[in-house]
Amino acid sequence: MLLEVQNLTTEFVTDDGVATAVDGVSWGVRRGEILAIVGESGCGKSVTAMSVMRLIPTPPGRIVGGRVLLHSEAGVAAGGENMAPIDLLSIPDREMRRVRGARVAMIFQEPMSALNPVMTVGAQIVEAIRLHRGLNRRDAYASAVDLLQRVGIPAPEKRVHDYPHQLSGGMRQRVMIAMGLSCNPELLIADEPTTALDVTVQAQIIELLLELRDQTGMGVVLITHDLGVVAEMADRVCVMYAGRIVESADTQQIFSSPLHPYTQGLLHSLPRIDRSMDRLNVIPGQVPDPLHFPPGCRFHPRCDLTRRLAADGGGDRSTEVLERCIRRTETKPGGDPPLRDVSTDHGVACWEAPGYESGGATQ
Amino acid sequence: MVDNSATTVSCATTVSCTTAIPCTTTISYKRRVWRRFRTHRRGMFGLAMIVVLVGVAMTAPLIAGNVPILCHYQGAWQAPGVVDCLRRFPILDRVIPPSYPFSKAGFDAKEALSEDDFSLWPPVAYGPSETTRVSLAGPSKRHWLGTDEVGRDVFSRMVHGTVVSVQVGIVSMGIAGVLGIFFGAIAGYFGRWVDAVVSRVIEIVICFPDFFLILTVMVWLEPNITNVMVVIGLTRWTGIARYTRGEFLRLKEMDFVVAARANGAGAARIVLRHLLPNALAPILVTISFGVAQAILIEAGLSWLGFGVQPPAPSWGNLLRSAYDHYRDAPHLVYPPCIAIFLAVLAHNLVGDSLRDAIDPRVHATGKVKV
Amino acid sequence: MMRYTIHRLLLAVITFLGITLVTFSVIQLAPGDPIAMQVSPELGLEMSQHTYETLRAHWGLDQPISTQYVRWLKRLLTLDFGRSISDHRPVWDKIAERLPWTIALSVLAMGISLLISIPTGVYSAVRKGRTFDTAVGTLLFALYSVPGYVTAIVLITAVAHIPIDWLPISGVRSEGFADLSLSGRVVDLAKHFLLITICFTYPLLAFQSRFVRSNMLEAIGQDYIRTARAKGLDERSVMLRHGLRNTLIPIVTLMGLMLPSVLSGSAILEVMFQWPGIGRLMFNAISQRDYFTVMGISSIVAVVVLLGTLLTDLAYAWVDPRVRYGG
Repeated sequence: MLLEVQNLTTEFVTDDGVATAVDGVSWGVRRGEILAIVGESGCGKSVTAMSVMRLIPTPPGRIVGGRVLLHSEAGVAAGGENMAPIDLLSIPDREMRRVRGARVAMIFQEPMSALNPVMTVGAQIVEAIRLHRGLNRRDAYASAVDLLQRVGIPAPEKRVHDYPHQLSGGMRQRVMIAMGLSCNPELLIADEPTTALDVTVQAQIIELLLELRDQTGMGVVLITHDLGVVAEMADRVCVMYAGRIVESADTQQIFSSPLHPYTQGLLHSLPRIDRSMDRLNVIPGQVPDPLHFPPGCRFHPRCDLTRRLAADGGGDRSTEVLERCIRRTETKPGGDPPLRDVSTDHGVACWEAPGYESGGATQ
Repeated sequence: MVDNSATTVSCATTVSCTTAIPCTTTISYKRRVWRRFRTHRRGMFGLAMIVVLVGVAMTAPLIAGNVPILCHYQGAWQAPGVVDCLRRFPILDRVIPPSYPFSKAGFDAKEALSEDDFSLWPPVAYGPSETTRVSLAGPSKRHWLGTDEVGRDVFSRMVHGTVVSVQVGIVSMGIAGVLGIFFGAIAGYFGRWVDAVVSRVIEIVICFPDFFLILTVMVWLEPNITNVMVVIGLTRWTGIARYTRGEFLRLKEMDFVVAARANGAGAARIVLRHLLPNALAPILVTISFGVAQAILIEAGLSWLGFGVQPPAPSWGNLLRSAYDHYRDAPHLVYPPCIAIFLAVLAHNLVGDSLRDAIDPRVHATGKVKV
Repeated sequence: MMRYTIHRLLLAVITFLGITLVTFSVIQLAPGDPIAMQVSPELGLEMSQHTYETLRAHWGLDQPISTQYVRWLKRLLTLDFGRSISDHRPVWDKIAERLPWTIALSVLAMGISLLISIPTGVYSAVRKGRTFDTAVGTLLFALYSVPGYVTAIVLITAVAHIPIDWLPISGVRSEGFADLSLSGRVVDLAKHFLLITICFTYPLLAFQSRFVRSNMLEAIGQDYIRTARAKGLDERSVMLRHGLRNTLIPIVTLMGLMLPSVLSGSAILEVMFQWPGIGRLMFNAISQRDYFTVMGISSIVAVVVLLGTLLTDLAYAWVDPRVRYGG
């Protein structure tokens, strides 16, 4: 394991109360692995990433619980001794700054606004290189040119003196990636790296990220709402809904046998070429406001299953299900279902998922 | 804010107000701005001060004057103070006859009324131009703020000087508002060469130090309050025009305007029904700051002797006599200084809070994506 | 950059022509004859018809308006504004000896206010909502609402009554200035500068600090600040290297926009402190109906403002690469 997130909980204090944007989320990513965190906007996936980097603006945000363990490369450490993992949430700011950009790097969605408009792209890359690698200005610039070359920017020795507004969107995203890679991070967190780009440019960036992963062996956490990108890139997938992970499995399994109704809904809403569809399936309703999560399973107001059963009305079976998912009574066990393994490496959080009752808690 | 979900958090608190403008009904927008404005204590304090200021200006003869508000004189009930007060307004001065003999020049109500006659006097029973024998006296029970170099009551002059400041604020900003909204509106709505021409004119006027321009014009104009108001109005419209232009440029691309145009609404209708009401709040911000500036300029001009001419009371004239006697009568300094400060402060507070109420993003804890 | 400079220069020329046209029209349209105005009838002076005609011809007032305007422009270029009616000295000489004092004040006021307002504004923004921010914010808002001339009168009165003998409240030099040593002269000048500079500076300071704060807050909210943090930079570098740098751009623009109001403020303050600057010259000229001096000052002030704006525009392009390299 490279990075392990355990029970991460992040809140935002607002005028109307405390909103839990991320609620006890756990996941892990290995070296060389691409983990995708998927969900609609507002589900807490970006807050998760920002929490890992400790970049949540405080106030109004605060990380209230959990651990983020960054493991050192086992066996590589001198003398063969296995270094203990460090908890990114508990180390002092100074140490955290040494992790940011150096061991864990992050690239952002809007390459236009995420780059400083009054600094050359070279200066922005050099800044990180000099900070973490202690190179002098000349070597750092040489290194920046190298990096730009690696991310596929033509004439890098010229572009290094350009300002962001002189570059196209795709070029800017490449610069962002070069900046992220500048200190050979062990983990790259990419927050919607392709969202703001044209489809053809998207494909190039995906290609580039895959290539770089193969070259460097770094782990990648990909935050996205685009299942197409997930299918092309990810090794494993975590599906988030309303601040929680509702399903996690490897990409193959998520696409072939999704267990959670939300995941199923997401997949159904993809337009398919191989199947004629009368209409595009959409999941009805909206992501709930984190100030007012529904009781019971957070997904139940939008869930196909509960809706169908409620429409049927009556019947012991449906009453039981409804009570558990909607939690009208306090007597029966129920509420928001925790994530449980139903088979090897396939976790789901749905009372009605096959094998859920007997499943064990996920790691 | 950091990401989408956090955006939801911020939005949940301010609901749809972040993009406030594109709501369909203008009334609810105004109401929302007003509701947010009300939560600003500083702004409400400023508004209260403005209300007091205007109130004092409207009732000046009832607060300080040398005729009684109400009296029983020679067997008849008379209200010369009230009559004076009302006759200062246009139209009313034609309708209401002056109260004889109080309006007669040289008539001294204090002498004429005997002890036995009932009379209700203003709290300070001195007119703004009424001279007494005590000059440059310090504050006393009789003269709350003392007297000036010719023995006039400073409090009375302050109260009557308020009228000038309020008038200048309203009239000059009225002129500036009409000019500014008109030019800003045509520039923003029609764009192209109209915009180019108007923008250039604005740039020229802005480049010119307005106080110098006003002084230059004052060489040829007789210095009096009307000219001061007109000149201030003619030189201070550019800020309003720029704001209006900017708002119009922004608003005219909005869906509700495009929809109105698609429905066949004409230019006048779009401007008056859709654009202006939505642009009004930001324009009010500039006007509020503008009133503060106008009061400042008037007092400065009067101090220099190019504004309201003595012996008429105005804060600038009071400041002048304070400056002329700063060695022997320091008590003259504070009343006009504090009054100018409070009047300017009140309008700045209102302008500032109104701006916050229009654009809550300034106060949002994080950046809210719009 | 070259293209931009030329563009701005052209705009400045157009604006200059616009301003002079306005000024010129004011002269022409205003009631009262400038020649007749040179003689005060109340003093019982009469001007012969011949003298009148000669003077009119001398100033070209008998020509058509368009010719007059061109001639007026030409004279402007050679700084020929005619002679003052009060002392018959060339108007340009009078302006030239006064202008440095006003410019010195303006530059001093703007410089000091920048030096103080940038750190204050930045620190307030970084500590938004904390005690420092609230306290300074309230103080600055109050200061912003006190006009400079009000403070000037309060200060003059206070100095006269406290009494602080060593602090002069008027003029630029003490008696016997010529006898002082160099250091003595510097101290004497500084003393004279003190009060008027305070009154000039603090309104600018109050306005600028609030401006810097709000711009800094806006910069802090931008995505590139988050990127800088994600690189592992410490807060100080994030704020200064990334936040402040983007805040400086609007400040440069503000400086240009404030020049007219700084000069405007000079009129009253200079009269109050009997400062030998352009504002007081203007006041005296107007009081004496010194027509040509008034026109001369108006034109020169317009030129100074335009130059200031042009410099600001160029400085703006220099700090903002988006302008420098044509966005």
